[in-house]
Amino acid sequence: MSGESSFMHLVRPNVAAPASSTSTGASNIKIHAPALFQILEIVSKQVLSAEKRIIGTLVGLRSEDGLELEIRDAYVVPCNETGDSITIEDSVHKTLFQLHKKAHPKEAVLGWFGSSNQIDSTTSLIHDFYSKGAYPFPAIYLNVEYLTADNQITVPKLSTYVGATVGKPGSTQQIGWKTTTTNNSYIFTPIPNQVINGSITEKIAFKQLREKSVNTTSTALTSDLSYLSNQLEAVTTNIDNLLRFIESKGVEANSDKDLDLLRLLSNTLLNKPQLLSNTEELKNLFSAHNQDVIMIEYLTKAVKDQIELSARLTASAEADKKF
Amino acid sequence: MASVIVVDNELKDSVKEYAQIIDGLNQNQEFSESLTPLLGDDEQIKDGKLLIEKIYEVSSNSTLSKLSDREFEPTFYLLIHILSELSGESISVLDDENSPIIKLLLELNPQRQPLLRDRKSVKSTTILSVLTNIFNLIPETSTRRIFIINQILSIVKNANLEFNLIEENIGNNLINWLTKAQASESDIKSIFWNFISLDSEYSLKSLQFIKSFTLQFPLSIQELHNLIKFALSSPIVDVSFLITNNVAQALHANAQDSLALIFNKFVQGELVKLSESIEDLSIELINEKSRILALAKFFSEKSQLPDHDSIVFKYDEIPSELISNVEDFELLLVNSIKANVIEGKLNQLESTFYLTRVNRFVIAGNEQTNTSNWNEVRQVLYEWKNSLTNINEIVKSTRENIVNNGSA
Repeated sequence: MSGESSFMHLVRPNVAAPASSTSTGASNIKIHAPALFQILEIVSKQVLSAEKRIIGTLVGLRSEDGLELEIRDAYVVPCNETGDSITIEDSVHKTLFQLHKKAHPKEAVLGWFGSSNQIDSTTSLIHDFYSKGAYPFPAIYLNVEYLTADNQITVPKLSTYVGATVGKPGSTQQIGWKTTTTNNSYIFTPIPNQVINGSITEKIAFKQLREKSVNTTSTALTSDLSYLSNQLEAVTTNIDNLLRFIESKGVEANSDKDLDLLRLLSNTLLNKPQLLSNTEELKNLFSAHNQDVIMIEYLTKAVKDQIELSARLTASAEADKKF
Repeated sequence: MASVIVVDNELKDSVKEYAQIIDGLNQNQEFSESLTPLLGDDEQIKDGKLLIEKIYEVSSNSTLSKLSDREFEPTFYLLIHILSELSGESISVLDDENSPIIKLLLELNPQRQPLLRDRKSVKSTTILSVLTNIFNLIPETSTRRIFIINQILSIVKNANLEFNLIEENIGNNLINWLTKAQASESDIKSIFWNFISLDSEYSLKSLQFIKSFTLQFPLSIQELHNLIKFALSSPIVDVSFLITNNVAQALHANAQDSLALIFNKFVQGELVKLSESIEDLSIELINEKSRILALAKFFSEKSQLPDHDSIVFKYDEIPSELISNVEDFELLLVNSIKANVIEGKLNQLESTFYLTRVNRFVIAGNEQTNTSNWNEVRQVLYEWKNSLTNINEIVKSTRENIVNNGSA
């Protein structure tokens, strides 16, 4: 949500967590795409009606000052809501987190996600539960709006909140002999979030998947072309599209957007290396390069064969000795 | 998405809690005791109005300022919660022209840098945080949002807070918020320029905010001056992207204005000399930047001449008004490359410069040059396309060659 938003977020509010420093800047949440898919899958499979509440734990990384958060993974935690009260299966949450911790020792509980459409007193109860899990850092709350009030599925809307305490910090209310230090009063402040797609390997895998599943016919046709030719053709198509767009505008395009395009194009394209129009020279260079590659391949193969041969000779010499 | 306050207690308990906090600050029991008759034993609160008055009475500047920075926010949210619950409608306390609670908050903002001794006292950022939450509690269409934004800007200004604290969020949304809050056009403009004037770094981001602003609104002479002064003081050299159609119109309408004249010269790559004077702006900085732009203009014009090589330049071709000696020229080149206006390679042995990229100044309003620019771009795109086809053919034929040789 780096673009436009309806809320203001300048400074993260004071939260009742010992490790949060007071003088802070804005905080920001990054949601990794796999974690987002995980959350959406859980929500879409589990949520059957708007009344049923589905919650789960968010795990990931946190920067040193606690302002930058990265959600890496999520898992569901069963809960049972009856009227005003709610029970969370604490043991499941703990077991799953221990399991996650084995594979990702650096990650920690960041907060929780839920599918409820409104923030109510139960929300703050759960938030309090997770504030202890994320202790000594403040917990975050990610809301996924999946169903509308009349149980219609909508495009999932994500909003993230941080809960700032209301009232006396760690207010102790004396109920009989037991002093409770729970704080169930929060003001939920929206904070910006953005979905990021992680590593290059993820991108390559995604591209492969798309090519294999979406346009199976065209890959079969072009499969005998080299990767380089493929890329060249892709660029040529792009240039064709661009040219078609420019032709359709005519040379009198003077709106602000057109000028931006013109500025970009003329700043980057106008100085073209001379070499590109010199076909002969290019051909020479390219074949020289290819010769080099073939030469290296040949040499590696020769060396490899030599090594294998010597290994076999030694082996057979050893075998001869035995007899 | 807005802020939501969730309090698990009964309202009465919240009032009691607040009374405890106040009494803790005053180190007596007065307030709690004075509330006992009002709260009574049953569930209902008897006299809401009287209670509100009482609460306002004790929540004075001097009392609340005793709170530490950490305690301040939760207490203030509790106060907001109590008052809005007591007055019935949840946001009417905040959404009011003379809301005493916002006045109180603004009075609590520290007026000067805190001493080391009172490092625990309330900080300006805390006040900002509360204000943003109030902003989020008020509905989008309320005109009170305009007031809050103004207050936030003035706090940032008075407390000398870092501009980048508010740059991203406010800059991206300011106009949107103001339009939704039904601010008049003149209000939007003045708030926007107020916001921009807070940026003492003259950053690229602010320039882009100005640009998107000028895409929406025409400029008056005063605003044009603001824009020019900001752009000329900025470390960003090539500001030609600022000249949108609206700016071009304003420049055209005020063609006789001295500032507009110099700016026009500057963005078109003509040299602004040291002898020229511009009110309260550093002429050295402008001259420095102007030399870079003039060099870029020289390169782009020369490289298009048919009798000149398009990428190789000799040192002695450069006009003498730009440079005094070779070292000076090399320094200028390095500066231009650093400013991202030119890209290329220096060959000091042969005293030549190989140009790979240079910025062209595309400016709205120059229809003739823009038309020829479009034509050039089209031409070059065709050339690129042909070259690519050539390369592709080379790749294919080489590939076939290799395959054939291998099988033979």
